[in-house]
Amino acid sequence: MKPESFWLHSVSSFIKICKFAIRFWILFLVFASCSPAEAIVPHFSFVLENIQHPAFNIRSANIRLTGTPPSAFEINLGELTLGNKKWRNLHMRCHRTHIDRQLISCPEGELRLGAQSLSLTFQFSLRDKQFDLAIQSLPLKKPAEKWQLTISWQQEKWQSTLKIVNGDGKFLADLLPWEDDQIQIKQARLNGDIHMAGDRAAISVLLAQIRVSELSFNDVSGLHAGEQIGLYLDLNAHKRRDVWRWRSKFVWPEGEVFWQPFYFVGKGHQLTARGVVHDQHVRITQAKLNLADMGEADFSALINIQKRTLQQAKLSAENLVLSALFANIIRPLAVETALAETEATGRASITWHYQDTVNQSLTVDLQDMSLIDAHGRFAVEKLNMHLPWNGNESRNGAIQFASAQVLGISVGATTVSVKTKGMTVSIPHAEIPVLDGELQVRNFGALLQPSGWQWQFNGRLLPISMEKLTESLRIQPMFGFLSGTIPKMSYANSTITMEGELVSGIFDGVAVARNLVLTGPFSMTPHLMADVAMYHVDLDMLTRAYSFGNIQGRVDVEVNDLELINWEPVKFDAKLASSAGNYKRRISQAAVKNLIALGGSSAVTVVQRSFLGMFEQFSYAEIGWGCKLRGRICYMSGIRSPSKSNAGYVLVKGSGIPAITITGYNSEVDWPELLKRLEHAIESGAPVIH
Amino acid sequence: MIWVSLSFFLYTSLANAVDFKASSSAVTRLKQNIKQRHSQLIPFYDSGAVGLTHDGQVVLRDANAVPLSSRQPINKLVAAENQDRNALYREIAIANDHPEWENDIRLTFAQRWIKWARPGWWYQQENGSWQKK
Repeated sequence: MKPESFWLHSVSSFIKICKFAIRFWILFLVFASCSPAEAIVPHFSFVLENIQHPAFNIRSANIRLTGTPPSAFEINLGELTLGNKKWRNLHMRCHRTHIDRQLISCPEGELRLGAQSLSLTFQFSLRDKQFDLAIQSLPLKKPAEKWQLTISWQQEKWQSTLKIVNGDGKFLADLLPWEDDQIQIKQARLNGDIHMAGDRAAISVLLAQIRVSELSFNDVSGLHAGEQIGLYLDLNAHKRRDVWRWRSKFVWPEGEVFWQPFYFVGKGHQLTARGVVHDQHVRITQAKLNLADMGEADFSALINIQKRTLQQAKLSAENLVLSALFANIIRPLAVETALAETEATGRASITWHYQDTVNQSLTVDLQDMSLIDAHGRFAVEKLNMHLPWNGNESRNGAIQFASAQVLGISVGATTVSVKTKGMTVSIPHAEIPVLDGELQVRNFGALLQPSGWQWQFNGRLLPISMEKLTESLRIQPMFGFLSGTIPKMSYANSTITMEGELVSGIFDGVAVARNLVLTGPFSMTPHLMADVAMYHVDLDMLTRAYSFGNIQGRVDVEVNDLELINWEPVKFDAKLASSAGNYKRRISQAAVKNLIALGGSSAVTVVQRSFLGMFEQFSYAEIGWGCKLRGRICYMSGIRSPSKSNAGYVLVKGSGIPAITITGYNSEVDWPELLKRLEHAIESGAPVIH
Repeated sequence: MIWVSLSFFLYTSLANAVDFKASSSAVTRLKQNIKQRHSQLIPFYDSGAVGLTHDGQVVLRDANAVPLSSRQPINKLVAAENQDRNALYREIAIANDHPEWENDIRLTFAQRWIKWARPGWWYQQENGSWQKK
């Protein structure tokens, strides 16, 4: 039996039990009056083997009344089943029972219910039409605990009041028909009144004012638990023509609750609601939820009791405090996403409409929001957003922010018009300032799939200074400008994929990035894969920029299968070669020394070494260098791959007068060591000759 | 029986073949993260709140052993630890130039974590049951 129907049955059952008691009493009086006057000990015993009811089951009930007044009255139940709770050997005994035509009273009695012993007194008066029952736990506790029930009736109408003083909530909870794996009440203290009134077996008034203190509960896993909770409940419900009209107030002033994944502390959170119950439906016509620190939400709802489904809901919340909303709700839900370590400030407003098991509309407004990632991966300042959504129609919204930062790259003030329809969000066009350039987004479309959000766009990148970009990314400085056309950039399953070519002007040449795939951009180990090529790069500009020693000429560079993990290269096939064409080909003495230093055991011939110091510049015909990076090892090659007979490879092939040829012999170089030497050569402006 | 022996042979061969010291900046960073987080997890291993699973992860196995106000932080800690552990297995496989070894590396690590666990810590057996070391 479901818990909600259990109590309806219980109340009607109680009425039936009272009726049964009256009939039993009349039967007893008949029996007593018919007994011979000389009978020594009046004795009445009534045995029922089985009583079945939808709300309870009784086996082996034995009712005994013995002795002359005051008689002893006893009820023994072999087994009582209420819902899925079962007790064996229940015992109620009234030591002195006064019985006359108008009254049954028990001024001193005892009830044993499971392991619990209770003192019991009751008085059943036909003259006053009233039943009084008082129960106290044994042994008597401090503060004193008392449950006091009064039922009175006039013809068909009745009313009852239960007064609870320091009631043991655990005892009450143990009577409830919980499932085994559900929440278990560990302790609770109850104070208050419950008043009910009705007609025959039906209730028409229910008033309750209950204060709960020291409430602690948990489930087996500990993922749903509360400790030292204080609560106040005020319920007022009246039934007229099969319709219950109710209003309630629920206040949570103290205690803490962990309800996976949320953790809340009682700070005076308050829920007030009113509505009706009719025809197996609960309608909440007006409700207000006030969460301390966070703000207020008004809502209404329609719930089907039988199906336990939400049929309709409307919610409106204005000026919610985003810092508290993030801390209490969003971050716990986003524990495995980039939002897990974010701090937010600002305000949010939300309206939501749900009907017929479908979300009908949702509008989110953000006011002056700032969002900052604790790891510095992204941030946005003064974000204002109006984002309406309707399940059936398209809606127009807007997003604007004063500034932002993504992976160290600054983004300027931006205003974007947004269109939503179904599960898609589209931005026809957006101009986003990036460093000293601009990203022009066209045809942005985002779609929510079961696996998460997917989006794509095309557009253009207007020139961004490579110097500013490399400085922002904190990588080796580069000069020139990055720009290009983006035929298609898409995101799915934490992976950004770029189709087409991203072209940049770099050192008077052209750099092209293709096949760009970035996985887990905001994870701890982002992976980037790409093919990069640079054409006709001016070595004069390049070497001047890095203080490497001057080289004049032009080179083409191809870096295929480039793979960066955590922004550091772990794999690539790189090839640098002199560009075709006629141009000046000179290399300075300092650059030669640096090249030798980089090669470790690279060498020039002894003869060449002898006149290295005699000239400032040398002529060359061709420059070539190759590196296959695998993990930490760079497998080097030169203009031509080294032959088996001769392990050396030519890096610079001399030509003219004075000419110099540099040959490398180290075919395997530790990549971090090579970078260290390069940095040292650039920083010192002077090579270290090994 | 032959298949079991063969599987065992292949497994131990793989374990020997994998260079667990193979490193990249990602592996180094992940190891540092795991090392730093370990000291925060120790009290929860000690109390039995957190246990080591047979697939190389950690799990909040008894939230009742954790004060209520700490249950959300420990959830976050466990989620972050598992993210790093999963990434570590993947990155070591990549550093060995064999991404397909990820699952075998995970299982080998799972055995190591359990082997290195202190007495009193809880670990999950192959059949899913929990055992106190």
